[in-house]
Amino acid sequence: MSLSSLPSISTARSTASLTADAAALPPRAERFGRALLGSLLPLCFLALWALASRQGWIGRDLLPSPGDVLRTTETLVLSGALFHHLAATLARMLAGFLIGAAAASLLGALAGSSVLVHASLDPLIQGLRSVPSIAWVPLFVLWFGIFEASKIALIAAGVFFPVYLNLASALARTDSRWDELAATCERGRMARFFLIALPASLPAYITGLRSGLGLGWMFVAAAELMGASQGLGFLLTDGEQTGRPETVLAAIVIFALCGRASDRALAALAARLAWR
Amino acid sequence: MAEAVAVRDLVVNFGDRAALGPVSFTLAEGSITALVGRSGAGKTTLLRCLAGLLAPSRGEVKTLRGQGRPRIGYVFQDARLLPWLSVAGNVAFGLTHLPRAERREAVAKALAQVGLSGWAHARPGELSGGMAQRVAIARALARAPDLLLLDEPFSALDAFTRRHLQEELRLLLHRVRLTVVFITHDLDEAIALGDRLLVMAGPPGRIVADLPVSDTGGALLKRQVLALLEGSGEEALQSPTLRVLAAHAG
Repeated sequence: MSLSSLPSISTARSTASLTADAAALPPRAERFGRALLGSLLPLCFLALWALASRQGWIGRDLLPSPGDVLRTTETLVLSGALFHHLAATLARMLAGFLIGAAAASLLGALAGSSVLVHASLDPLIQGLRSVPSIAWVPLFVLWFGIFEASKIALIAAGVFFPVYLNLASALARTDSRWDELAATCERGRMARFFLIALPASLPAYITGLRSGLGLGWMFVAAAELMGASQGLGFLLTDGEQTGRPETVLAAIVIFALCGRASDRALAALAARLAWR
Repeated sequence: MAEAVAVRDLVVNFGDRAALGPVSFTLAEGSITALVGRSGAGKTTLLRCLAGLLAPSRGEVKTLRGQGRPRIGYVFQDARLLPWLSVAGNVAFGLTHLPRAERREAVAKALAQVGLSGWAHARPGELSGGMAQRVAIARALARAPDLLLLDEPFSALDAFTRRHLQEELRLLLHRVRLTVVFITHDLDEAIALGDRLLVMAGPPGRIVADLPVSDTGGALLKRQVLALLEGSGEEALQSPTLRVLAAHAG
């Protein structure tokens, strides 16, 4: 009997294809059910918020109604102010994320692939990691001034650590069995790094990037709160100082939407790149 | 038959502990040698030395046909496919010594040899265990190795698939005429696939019997190897039955 005539082969492929299809495209009803389940709690929260506001359980000067927040958002959109602030925040976020992720990728790759670099670099980075993020603010302001550079540096610092840690540890943990395979196939160090260690670490690296992105959004808010004349963080402080909680809530909702959208975008990109 | 590989006074120590040797033997070109023995008899250590995965404490492995070490094709117990590469990419992984066009040809030929021509673009995750192991065999064959080494290649498979693959491998090995050394715990597999059994005992691992496999007398050979493995190697080899068997097999 030929190997290709084994019954398990054809069934294995069809089963695998079916499984892959099922994972890629769940039935419409299932997707709808998931979406409904996921939006149930936010909708309940929204209803409770509207009720509390309507019944006057909490003063409107403290908790405006969802309608007030929506109207404020509409005003911000129509006046163009929202795009102005959003563009400022996104520009800072993008710059900080790219700088932090690039530095972390470089150092993480070095530390993860060389025991010597890891031994000399990792204790320092682990030490720096335990410094509370807000403690960097005065130093960054002294070093980079009060304008854009210090804010971007703070975001980059936030992004750096999860990306570095995930990449360095994933590279260091690359299964030694792959090394044996590379040795029997006479593949050199470069091939081992680029064809084995790096793709093997990609899922953990992407997790690091997503964590870094999440922290980046936290840090951009912190950076803009510490002194900015534009940006979503500025909207927060402006709303607080002028006694307009609807502006504060509008800025919070936009932060949440931005964070979610950017994470989804990164996850979609990762799904194309990563093997798992 | 010309000798392809010579192993001379091979010794492996792990720290103070002697793991293997001294072991000496030669492999004839196109021969198929089964390494059998209990766990801890040094089979894997010997195979890893042959593959260059383990540096011996003493002795050497030499190819007698060309210069330096033989080119190895190695099939591990697990298929060890890189999940981020396609089946073709995995087979091509060990072919850097070939130009691109020849590499493609070698991949196509190796996949055809194991009956997986239509699967070049599939991902390892789509394959069954048996298919994955056949890709691993194709990867080793594609290198056109001087020495093909298989470390219990079918041990992780179910009995049905294992029997099929054993038969296919037997036909394939006789067709490609490579020098092969394989480890197995299955004496039926050793006798079915091999034309020579190196029976090992230890630790420290040593070869206690070097038996040719004939077309007849397989059952007797199996009984005697079992007796050999159950008793002390040297004592068992003195047994008149085994001497008769060895003479008969030769």
